[in-house]
Amino acid sequence: MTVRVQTADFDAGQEIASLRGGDMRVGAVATFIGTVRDVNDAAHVASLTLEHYPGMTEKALEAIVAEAKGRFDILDALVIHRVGTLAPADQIVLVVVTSSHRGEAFDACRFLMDYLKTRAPFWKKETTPLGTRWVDARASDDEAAARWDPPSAPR
Amino acid sequence: MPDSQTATAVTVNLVYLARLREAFGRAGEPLILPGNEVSVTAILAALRARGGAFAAELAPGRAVRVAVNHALVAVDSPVRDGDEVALLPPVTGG
Repeated sequence: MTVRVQTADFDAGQEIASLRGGDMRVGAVATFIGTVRDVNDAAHVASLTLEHYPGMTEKALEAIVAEAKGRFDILDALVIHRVGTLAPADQIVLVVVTSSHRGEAFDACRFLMDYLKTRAPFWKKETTPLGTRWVDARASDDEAAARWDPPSAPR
Repeated sequence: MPDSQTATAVTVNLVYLARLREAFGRAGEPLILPGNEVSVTAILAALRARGGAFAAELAPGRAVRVAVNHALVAVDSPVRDGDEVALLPPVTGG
């Protein structure tokens, strides 16, 4: 179980190979990569600056990964989140989950992203032709995270 | 009740993040409140009483979450001397 917060880009292929290691029990690897869009809320996005709360961020991510490990039958998980100024098409976040079977890997990967979106202390600020603006939280993200709340809603 | 000889105060280290840091014009500050133990609610009330951006950003109903020593807490949580109390706007990572 690894979490990293970094300004540098990441190589998903390398990270997946490293997470799998030589573990022969792995039968499924689920990966999510979040990237920067060039349009948000009908405005052209020239750049995106991500800030976080050093000291809390790593703890929050570790807690989310521990929660996933408790809820799903997974072998290992990795979360990398970038901070600093990014351009459209840049990679922002990587989640990789290994499991023996695909169902648990898919579910855990989605759970990790849904919880990260609503619980990890990151904030996006966009630069558009009209100036800079803090990105608003979306109710749809809260709804996505709430799907995992007990008693579990049908999914 | 402590008398004047033993009256105590709690000093917390406030941290303002993202939009709140810009609205308040600072990244954080120490805040001193009377008592041995105070609540997050009391801290928010003291800040709102300043008016201006503090009253506007921390108005009831605004979505501000609070972390004490790097863990999210409920607003009725106790806060002790030396705690780091961070005010977080809704998060937008990922």
